[in-house]
Order: sequence, then C-alpha cells, then structure tokens
Amino acid sequence: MKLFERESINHYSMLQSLLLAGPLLLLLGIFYLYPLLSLFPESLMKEGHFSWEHYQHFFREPLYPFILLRTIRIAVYVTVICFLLGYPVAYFLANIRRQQLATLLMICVLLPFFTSILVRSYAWIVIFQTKGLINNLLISLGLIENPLSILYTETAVIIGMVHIMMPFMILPIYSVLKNLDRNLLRAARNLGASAAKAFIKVTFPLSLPGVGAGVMFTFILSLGFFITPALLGGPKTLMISTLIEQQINRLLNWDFAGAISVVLLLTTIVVVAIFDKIVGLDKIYKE
Amino acid sequence: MNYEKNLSIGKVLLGILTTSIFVFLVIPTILAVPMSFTETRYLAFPPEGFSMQWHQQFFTDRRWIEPTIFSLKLASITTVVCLVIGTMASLALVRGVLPGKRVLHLFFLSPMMVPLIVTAFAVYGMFANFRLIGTLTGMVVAHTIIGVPYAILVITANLYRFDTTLELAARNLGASAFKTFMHVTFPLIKPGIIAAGVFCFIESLDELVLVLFLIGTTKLTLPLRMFSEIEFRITPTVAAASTVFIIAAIGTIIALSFIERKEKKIGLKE
Repeated sequence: MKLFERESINHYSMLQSLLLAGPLLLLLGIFYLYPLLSLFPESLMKEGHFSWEHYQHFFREPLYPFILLRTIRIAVYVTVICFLLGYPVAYFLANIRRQQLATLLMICVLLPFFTSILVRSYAWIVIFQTKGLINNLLISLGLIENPLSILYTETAVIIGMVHIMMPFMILPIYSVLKNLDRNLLRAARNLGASAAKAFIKVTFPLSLPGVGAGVMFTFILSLGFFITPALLGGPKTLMISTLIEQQINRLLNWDFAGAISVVLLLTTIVVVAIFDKIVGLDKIYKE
Repeated sequence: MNYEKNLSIGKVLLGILTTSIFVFLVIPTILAVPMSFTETRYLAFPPEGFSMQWHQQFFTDRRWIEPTIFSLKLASITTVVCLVIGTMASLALVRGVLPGKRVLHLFFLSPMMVPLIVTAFAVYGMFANFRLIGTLTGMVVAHTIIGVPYAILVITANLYRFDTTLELAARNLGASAFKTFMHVTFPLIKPGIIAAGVFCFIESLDELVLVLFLIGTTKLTLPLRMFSEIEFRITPTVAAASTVFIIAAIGTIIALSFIERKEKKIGLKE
C-alpha cells in the first residue's frame, strides 16, 4: 500500500477533482460565463453587421456619460461614508471587554445584514416621505413649516445605500482587528507612544487588509446596485443599473441596454483589477 | 497620568459615536414591526391604533400566501443544490489537483461581484433557449449562480482552516477518498456547511433583480410581490410581510450563534 506524505497529499486526483468541480463548472459555464461573454460581440452588432453605434450613442449623448459619472460618484460617497462610520464601530466591537454587550452589538450589525434589502429600503420610504418620520418630527419641533422633499433625491439614495452596505464594511474590518496581536500595541504604549500615536502607527496599518476588503465590496456592490436606487431615487438620480432597467422594460431598447451592461461590467472589472493589485484577492478568500 | 484622561474622553466620544451608528443601523431595520400594527389603511408614523388586520391579511390572502410558499420552496431547493455542488467544488479547489486553481476559485466567486442587473440581462436569452423563464427550475438555476459563491467562500475557508493530519491518517489507514470525506472531513466542516446554507437560503429568499427578469408572468416570489406593492400603493400589508422577514432574520442569527458555540466546543475556533 502506498503511504501518503503530508506535503504531497492530494486526496483527489485530477480526474476526481474535475468530476467534483464538474457540475458547478458546467452550470456556470453555460448559464453564466457564456451569456456574459456573448454580451461583448452582441453589443457590437447592429442589424447583423459590425457597428460601434451603441457605444457612439452612449458616449455622444452627454446624458449617459453623466449617469456613469453619477454612479461612480454615488459609489464613492457611499464607500467613504461607510468607512468613516464603519471603522469606529468595528474598532469598538473588537475592543469591548463585556461579553454580553459585545454579543448584543454584534446582533445590531448582523440584523440588518440578514434582513431583506427590500424591507430596509421600504423603511427609508416611510422615514423620508412627505408625511414621514423626519418631516413629522421636524414640523412638530417647529424647525420647518413645509415638509422637506427628501425622498427621490440623491441624498435619500446615498443614505439608504450606506445603511445597506455598512455590514459589508464593518465585518471584514472587525475580523482583522479582532485577531490583531495585542502585544504589538502594548509594546508601542510601553515604549512611550500616546494612544493616538499607537493607533496611527500600529493598529491602523495592521487593519488595512480588512479595510481593503470592506472598501472593495462596498464599492463594487454600490456600482451595480439596483433596488435602493429604484425605490428611493427618482428620474434625477438615475444610476447605470436603473438606466439599464429603464432601457429594457420601458423603452424596449435591448441592444442599447446590452452596450450599457458592457460599460458597467468593464467598469466593475477595472475596479476589481485595481483592488487585486493593491490588496490581493487571494487574501480575501483565504481568510 | 495625563494620557489616561485623554484616553477616557476619547473612549466616551467613541462610545457616543458608535451608539448613534448602532441606532442608525437598527431603527430602519425594525421600523416595519410597529408600523404593521396600524389601524389605518395608509402608512403613517407613529402608527395609529392597534390592529392585527394586516398580519391577518398576509396569512390569509392567497395573493400573499402563494408567493411566500413559492419563495420558501425556491430558497430551500436552491440551498440544497448550492451546498451539494458547492461542497464538491470546494473539495476540488482545496484538496484536489486542478490546473489554474486560482483563476477557477476567482471564477466561482465572481457572480458576487458582477452587478446583478448585468447577470440578469445577459442570461435572459440562454434561459429562454432552455425554456426556463417562469419555471421553478429556472429560478433555482439563477439563484444557484449567485448563491454558490457564498457556499464556496465559507466552505473553502473551513477546509483551509483545519490541518490535514486527520484526513492523512484516514487515508494511510486505508480509507478511500470518499470514505475519508464522509467520516472525517464532513463532520469537521459541518458547521461551515450549515452556515453556508443559511447564507444561500437568505440570498435566494431576498433576491429580486434576477427574479424581476426571469420570473415571467405566471409566478410571483414574495420580494416581487412586495416590490410591486411598494411601487404602486404602499399598504401596511408590506409592513406585515416585512415583520415576517425580520423575525426570520432574528431566528437566523440565533441559529448561527448556536453553530458558533458548537464550533468552539469542537475546537475549530479559539
């Protein structure tokens, strides 16, 4: 009988591995990769001939590049706000000593994560609408006389999206901070660094892998996000995803929708490639 | 010492800041619960009166029950499919010999990153070719595509985490690869598989964009029913449906914390 060496052990031969991965490869190949790749040639066709027309249409009309820029801008805002709000929460969670409080606060982060995106967007409608929570509160406090129109503005979309994306920022940063070697921090303090300096020089740099993962997920998900912009936004806050839906369902302009999809897909791929260079995607899935 | 004082002021500020962020996270999440008990036919906050009529409507009206049952069926089947083919693929990725493992791993995770609206638009033609539009099978396929990355992510992480000594021992004592998996690997990664299943189930139950494109005209899922209700007229029944979702989410978290406790017991986590 052949003995397996520790280093050389592979429980599954190449054939077995292929059989194991086969069903998923087949499913994703036929129903995901092939259709996605087909988007590229299809978007370059018009009435059976090669044509750049859909892309020319996209970039010649000032409206469409403007919507693309707005999408990127909103994604940047959402990511920055999520980072500024999420980092202190992750830091706080990782440093709590009282176990029960830690559990309770962890539930506060996980509850939105597991609650339907639709339910949460719906709650923001209730909060923002003309006779909603915020307007009722401000009017009863005498701060305003006429209700503010917040719903269907960019502000509403950004606030709603920040709320949806926060757990994606908090959880990776938390997991890195939680596993940090406390001795490094103690050493810095004993050598005379102030709390602030120890944080800036030791804790923060060591937490960067978590920050990278959180920023990447938040930014990518925000770029292509559909439900919240569709429900909380209006015509003035059209993003790429809602533009695609509009071209398909209301204008029945499938070919043009295909070209916009390619633009969105390429934007996403560029962003992922940049993050891969900076953070390394391997780190994200190996942790 | 001076910095001690600064530190405590800093701590208080951090405490206040994080508390308000926790409030920001939780209030909109559970807001639907009190609203669902309103007596009025429209939504107002604070809710007026107390009535269970919207919950009653949700649980008795066929227009709500049928989509709910369909969604639960869809999510259950999707979860099983994701776990089976996801576990198989994870084993191949971590314990097998495959060319281009890194690329393959990223490919399996990529449906998480591609915008859902792009995936939905791209796959429409292929689904139509296979006559999958508007069928349960079609929706299972669609949700498996976006659910399987979660399974791969969690299960491969579990496989990387424990060292291979136990499996090695089983193999060297003469167990086949299959037997080693059933008696050694599977019991060890079971908590991970359950956690992955929870993610896949929630993902499918909550998913709207693929459903919007691929469901056709004959069927409805619960999120789609809620979406059309929110778009056209906002009734408190949506709040009642939301309450059900929120209770399900709380149940999920409790279930997951049980799994984590079990993991700690068998020593997978410190």
